[in-house]
Amino acid sequence: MSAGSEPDHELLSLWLSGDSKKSEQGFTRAYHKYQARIMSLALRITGDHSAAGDVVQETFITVFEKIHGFRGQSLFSSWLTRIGINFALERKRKDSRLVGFFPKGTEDEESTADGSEIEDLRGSSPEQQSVDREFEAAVQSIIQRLSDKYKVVVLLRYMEELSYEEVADVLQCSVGTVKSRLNRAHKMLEGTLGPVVEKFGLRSQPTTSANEL
Amino acid sequence: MNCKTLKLHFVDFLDGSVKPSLKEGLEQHISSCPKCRQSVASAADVSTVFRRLPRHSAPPQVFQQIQKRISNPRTAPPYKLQLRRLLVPVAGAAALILALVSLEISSPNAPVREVVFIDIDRDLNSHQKELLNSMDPFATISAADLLGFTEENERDTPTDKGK
Ligand SMILES: [Zn+2]
Repeated sequence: MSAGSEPDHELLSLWLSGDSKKSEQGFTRAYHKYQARIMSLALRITGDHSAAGDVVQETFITVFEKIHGFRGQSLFSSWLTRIGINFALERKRKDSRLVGFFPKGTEDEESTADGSEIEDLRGSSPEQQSVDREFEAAVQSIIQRLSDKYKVVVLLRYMEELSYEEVADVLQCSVGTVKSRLNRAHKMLEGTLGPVVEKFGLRSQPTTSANEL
Repeated sequence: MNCKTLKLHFVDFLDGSVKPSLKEGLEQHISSCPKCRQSVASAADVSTVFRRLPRHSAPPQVFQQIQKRISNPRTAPPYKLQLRRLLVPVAGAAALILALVSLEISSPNAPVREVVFIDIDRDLNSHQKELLNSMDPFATISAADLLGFTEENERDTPTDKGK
């Protein structure tokens, strides 16, 4: 992520400078900094690439239209992420109502068809890419079994690697609630990911100490 | 130290953010308790797997669409419709009353919706005002509501429980 390191207050001051050229620059940078976060969360929530793309679109249009009223009660990133999650959940609900009428293709078919890219792995070999897709599909089928409130907390904490405070800021709940949800999520996932770790050779050491988390 | 102690501090233990004395005790317990060892190992797997999960970039046409929509605000984004729909139950009866009152005092062709959205503010309690003024397009069902964070009591009844 090239633009990822630019602090939010800098791109916001550009964006809100009142100068249309600078403003466009600020928005564009914010988009490039956060689009992958929203895309990835939306993809895990909806399980569908094209739906996730729509979510990114709605999220950034909303953020663009609402930015002048943003008063900073939460971090800009939290606010944006919250809007993205809301759109993703909304989209998932809508789509699930239609599933009976229009059965969707599998995750694998979708991911090759629509041009969304795996961020970290561009340029990797076709073999590696196919392993990655298989890994994703395996994890996705497990994620799907979690209800949304647990899924979202796990994704924010472990996939996006946000701190408890940031997760709480996104979801506007207490840190204690975040922790208790994570606790429950761990309980529900217990034993399910071991086979995935084995199959894809992710276990670096046979015994895991708490420090590695 | 027992299984219950670990359960109580589980997430903090995973992060290594428990006090050293507690950590030592918990580690001792874990080394002698297969059940807790299994829980900790499984939690490590969760962390490993999710951190490895590839992140995706939106396809380039998404940004092109956004630019198009932004430069042409006449194409109304769908969230506005949703917002209006969501506001209806909140505004509810008060809106109706205000609309009727405004029809009474002004001409019958008065833009009712404008009246409702400006004047209704006065009759709302502070929570409802907050919702109306919130930056969140789904304010009337906030993320916290959607995700069930508003009721704190943790029951073991997830709707689609993992196997
Ligand atoms: Zn134990």
